[in-house]
Amino acid sequence: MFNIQRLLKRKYFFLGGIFVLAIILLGIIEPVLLKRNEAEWGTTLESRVKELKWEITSFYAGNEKDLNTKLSSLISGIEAKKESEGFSSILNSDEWKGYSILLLDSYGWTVAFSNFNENIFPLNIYNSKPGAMFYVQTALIDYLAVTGKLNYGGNSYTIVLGLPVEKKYSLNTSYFEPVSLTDDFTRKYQTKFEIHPGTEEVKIVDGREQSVAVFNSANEKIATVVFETPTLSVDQEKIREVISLLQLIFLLALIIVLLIKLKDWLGKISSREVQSLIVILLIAGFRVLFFIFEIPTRFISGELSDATFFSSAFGFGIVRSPLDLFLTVLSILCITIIVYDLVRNAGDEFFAGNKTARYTAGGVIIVFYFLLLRAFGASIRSVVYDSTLKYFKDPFLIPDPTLFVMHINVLLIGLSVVLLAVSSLLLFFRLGGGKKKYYFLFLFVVLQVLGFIYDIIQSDPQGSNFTRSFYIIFTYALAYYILTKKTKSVFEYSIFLVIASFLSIILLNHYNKRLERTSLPATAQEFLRGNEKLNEFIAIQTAVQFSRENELIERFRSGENNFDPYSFKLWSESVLPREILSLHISILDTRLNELGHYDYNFENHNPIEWDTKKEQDYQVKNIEDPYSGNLVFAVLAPVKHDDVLLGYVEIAIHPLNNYFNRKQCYNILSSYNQRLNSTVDFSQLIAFLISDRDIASSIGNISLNQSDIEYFRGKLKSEGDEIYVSRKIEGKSYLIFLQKNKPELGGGFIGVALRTRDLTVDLFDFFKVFFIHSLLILAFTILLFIFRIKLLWKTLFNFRARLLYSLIIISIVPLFLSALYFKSLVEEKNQDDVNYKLQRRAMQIERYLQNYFSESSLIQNEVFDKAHRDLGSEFTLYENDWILYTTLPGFYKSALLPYALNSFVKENISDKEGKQVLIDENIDGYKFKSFYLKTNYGGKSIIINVNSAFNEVNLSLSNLEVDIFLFGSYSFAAVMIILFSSFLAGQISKPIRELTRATTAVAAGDLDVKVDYRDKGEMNNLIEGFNEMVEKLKQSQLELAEFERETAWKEMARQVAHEIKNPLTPMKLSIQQLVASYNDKSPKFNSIFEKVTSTIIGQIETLSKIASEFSAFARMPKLKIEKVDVKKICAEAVSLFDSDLHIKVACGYEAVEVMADSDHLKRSLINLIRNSIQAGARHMEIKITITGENIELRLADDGSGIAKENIERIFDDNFTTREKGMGLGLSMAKKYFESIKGSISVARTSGKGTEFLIIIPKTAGM
Amino acid sequence: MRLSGITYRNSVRLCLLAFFVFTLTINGQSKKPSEEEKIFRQIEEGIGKSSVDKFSGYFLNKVFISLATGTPKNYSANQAYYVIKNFLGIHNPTGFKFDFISGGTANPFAWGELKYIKNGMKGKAKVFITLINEKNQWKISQITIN
Repeated sequence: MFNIQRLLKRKYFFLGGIFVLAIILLGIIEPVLLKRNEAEWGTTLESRVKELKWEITSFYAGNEKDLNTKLSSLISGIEAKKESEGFSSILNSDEWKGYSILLLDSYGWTVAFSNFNENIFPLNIYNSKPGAMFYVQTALIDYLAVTGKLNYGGNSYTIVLGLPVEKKYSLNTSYFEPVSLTDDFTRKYQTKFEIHPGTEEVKIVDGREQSVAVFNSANEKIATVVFETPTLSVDQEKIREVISLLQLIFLLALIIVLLIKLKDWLGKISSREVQSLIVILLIAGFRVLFFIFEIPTRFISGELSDATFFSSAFGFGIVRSPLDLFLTVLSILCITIIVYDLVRNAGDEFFAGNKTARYTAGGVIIVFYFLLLRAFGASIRSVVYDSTLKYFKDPFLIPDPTLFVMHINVLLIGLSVVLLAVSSLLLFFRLGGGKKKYYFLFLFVVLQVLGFIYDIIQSDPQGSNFTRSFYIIFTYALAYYILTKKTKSVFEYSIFLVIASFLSIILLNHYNKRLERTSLPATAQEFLRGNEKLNEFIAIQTAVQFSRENELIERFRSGENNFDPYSFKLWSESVLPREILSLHISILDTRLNELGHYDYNFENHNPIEWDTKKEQDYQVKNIEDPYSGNLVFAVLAPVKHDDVLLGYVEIAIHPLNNYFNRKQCYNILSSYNQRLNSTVDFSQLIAFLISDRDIASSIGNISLNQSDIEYFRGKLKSEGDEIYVSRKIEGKSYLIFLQKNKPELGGGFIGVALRTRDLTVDLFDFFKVFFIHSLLILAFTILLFIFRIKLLWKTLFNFRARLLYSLIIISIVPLFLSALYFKSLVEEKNQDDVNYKLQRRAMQIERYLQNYFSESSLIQNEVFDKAHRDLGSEFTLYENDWILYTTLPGFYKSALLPYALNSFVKENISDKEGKQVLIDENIDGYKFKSFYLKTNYGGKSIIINVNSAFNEVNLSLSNLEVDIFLFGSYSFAAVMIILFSSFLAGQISKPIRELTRATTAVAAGDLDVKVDYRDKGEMNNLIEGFNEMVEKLKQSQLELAEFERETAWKEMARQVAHEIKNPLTPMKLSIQQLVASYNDKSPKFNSIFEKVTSTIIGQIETLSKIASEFSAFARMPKLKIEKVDVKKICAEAVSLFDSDLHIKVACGYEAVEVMADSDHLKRSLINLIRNSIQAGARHMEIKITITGENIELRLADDGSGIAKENIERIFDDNFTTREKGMGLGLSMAKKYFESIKGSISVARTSGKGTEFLIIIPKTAGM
Repeated sequence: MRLSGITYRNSVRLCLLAFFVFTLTINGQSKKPSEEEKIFRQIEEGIGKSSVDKFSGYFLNKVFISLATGTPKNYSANQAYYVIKNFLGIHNPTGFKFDFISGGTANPFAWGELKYIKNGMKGKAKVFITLINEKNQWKISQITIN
């Protein structure tokens, strides 16, 4: 019959079997499913295509519904607004971020707009039916939009709410926010999609393509979506992935089941070392297994699994992404915790051995200790060098998830190293065996010297002298603290984490500085790179590629005449932004008239003359710009359709990519700065190009004088073609890399300089990372606390804890509040500062324009150009809410910025009396401040706009810097406060704890306890008084016991005498009677003799009964047998002696249960411990093991031992070697253990200590 | 036998000599691939077979990589290996050949078209690689896949 009990007992076995079966079955099912899928593909495909079409139409219908709901909400919001509020306050609110909104009056003029940069609106905006969704196609973005009617203030408006669905350009920078419905569909359905907005029929030429027309609620066609039919291979791949995933889940479940069984099995192994080794091998094995099966990177895609953020070739790729690194580091940390625990709890026998063996082991350990430092340095070096993350330059106080995970990795690496280093030192200390403070001081000095020598002998030491010294100082101090600490606490790990954080940040900073230094030659190389041929090649390839773009051909054929935004689009999607700094793209008609263009840092004013009669794929020309003298390389490629010429694409570049001659390279548009140097903050970089005579060009805020130039020239002449020098320029220290320039590139030399980092910057960097680490440490400590709350519950509100809370609260709360206050203060000041600096620029421009207008007759645009050149500011002018002039035409023509004045500005200063306003604006994800100033120019009202995107606005202390200094330094202070408070609370509460412990011991009956604590003041008086009181109590008790014993003996003797007297009296009388009758020769002698003997025998029986009853009275009291945890009883007994003796309880089990009397057991242990103390022991170890059916307790101390002649007698009653001893302790203990079928004996004894062995059967007492 | 002052034996020797010289000249004239070209061919093979190991040994300490997805950056040689490997893992090459290889310049470069299959869909990308001479060794300084 099915035995449920048996089943439950072997449940893990059956579960494991099920999982294995499932994995095998899935493997068998897979080819069957694939074959079936193939056979049914025809039908499946039909239904799949139907489903796809339905989903697409549902998507659009759903979107229309959502847009209409949003539109209603927008209209209600506008209608509910106050009259004093402008429309833009609603349109620009956070609720409408991500939407584009237009508000048109009844004539179709724009009243207000938000996130809509187009200069000319498509006609369908005006013609659409309210509530019916339609496509709005602009040069750069396609929108899905709905319109509605709004009545406000007696006027009627049309409101257009659009959702961007397709960005037709892309910028290869971190600011670009891609939006593509096509890509979303492609990704979701895993087949190629094309969306054709509009009503035209789309011809399907490829038999694999399908199309679905999209209609709005007014039954108007708004788009055609074309997609390739799903392929069988993609479908089958999905099936394979699902099967694979299921198999993996079952495998993981199987592993969990095996681990549970393993735990039980491990519990049966008595040797802690063997247990630990098995667990270590398992951890390592699992990590390797996870690496082979790509768990969990298979399931977690995204930045955490992306090698572009971090990857190293170490361990065959076991750390090839931030997530892989985390798993590897976590595995290593688990192993180091096990090793540390082993070392911490290692018994003295582990360190026994002859001197040679111990010294050899010590030497090996020291070598390991220094190799550990090398490994630490190499790991942190890899974290810096093999990563594109900027640990110190991240622009946010709280980093994004990937950077956060890397910070965790750095901290965990540090923790593993610190744990291993401390373990090594603990082993080293214990092998040495020294105990005096001078011994440890001497060792510390030796270690520092050895560390210095170790660094000298290496060709490339990891870290610096500073990092090495701190590594030794901190790990040594920690190891010494652990060695001398009596009790163990898991909160030690928090201290380890603080030290690990400190050391890892020092190393991180060291390698970051090194990387910045080594990046200078690469930057110089980039500046000097001869790119001429390369750039010309790229220009030709790109021009030919553009000329063959289908979209360009369609635009020509549709008669479009504004190609400005399209030129920008072409540029943004090509390789040009990444390669070439200065270029010009034009789209020309068949007569070479320009239909549109886009310039990027290009200066050439003359149109290029081409020979249009040439029938070639492209033509090239090399010319020199007469104004700037720059060389220009130009390419012209014809655009044709069916051999009919439609127009031309013209690309012109400055082939010699001289970065020094650039106008400006904006990070919003190009990643070129990133390419030049991604390590150093480019805005901090300084570079100069010195020709054979003088400084030719420079970048950054620096001006060299003649002596600087001569100094550099001299250094290059004497020390080589590539050198590093340190020099003070304009009072600031710089590290400069100098490199000679090749003669063919102009000769001279180039210098790339980095400001030398002072202590302020180093501290800033330290706090930036420490803040993150401190959050992690805090979170860890809180978690530890929560997990151990059961154990800690009793101590949660004790004196020490309350003292700690008080110290923390009175220190940290004011700290936190002041940080918040300063933060808000600085943010406000910075806002004012930005406002002030932009305002100053705007006013400078205002004054300049007014001055020149009144004094000069120059044409308007030339005045503006001159203002731009002379003042070095980028600005835009508006008149009648429309652009009048801009120094950045490229941004406006390309529709990245709108020609129309910002609605908020219009409402607040253009239409009203306001004079100036500062607002937030953005281009894609690039946010900046924009200042608008209304002014009078030649009798006309114009608005001057300057912003921080194109004009440098340096704040003395940015918001981020303030956050870092405040929160970073305060978090450091908070950690120090917690540590010191904990220490102080411990110190202050120590005498109270000692007193509490002593009082508990006294209450438990131990009157030999004494509080040994030296202090001044009331505490000392209290302790002395307590000790005196206990001593007196002990005396009184002894006297009382003596008196009671005497009284008891007397009483017993009296009673015994009394009882015995009773039968003796008749015996005496009877004998007297017998003697009398004998003497009298009485005739009744025989009868008297019989009577007397009978009486005497009777009385003897009575005496015998009296003796038996007294014997029974002296028997031991009855035992109370119950299930007790031997480990717990030991701990309770030990807790009474903490201050007198270092007692360690070694037990490899959670609990050790036996049937016995807990009081007797406890009293026996207390007795043994007290004997050890009285024998002068300082250390004691109680080892609890289970051997077969018995539980063994070994109590070993380092006292003076038992004299040989006394060994046999120590368990005898009343045997004692002490003056005041009763001699009953060991004998009672022996009687007790024997009564429960156990035993107690002396395992060994010598002048170095004694070991008692107690054996208790598991079934004792039963 | 004499042929205008030259004996038969000598004329044969002369012919043989002329033949050797001719052969050597022809061989000398047939173009030997330059060091840069060899490296580009290895890269071509590596990309075509999705095997980064074939050319990862040529990575400079810092390689500028610009892919169709993501922001272009300078990567360490270690990172560059995995970045390209992961990219080719997702974009499975079906064919790759350099259309143009320039040499004999300070910065040789090569340009080609990569055909791939990604998630079952075919695609094309332009691949562009430049080399730089560092301590008399050609190293890959830039990889652009657009």
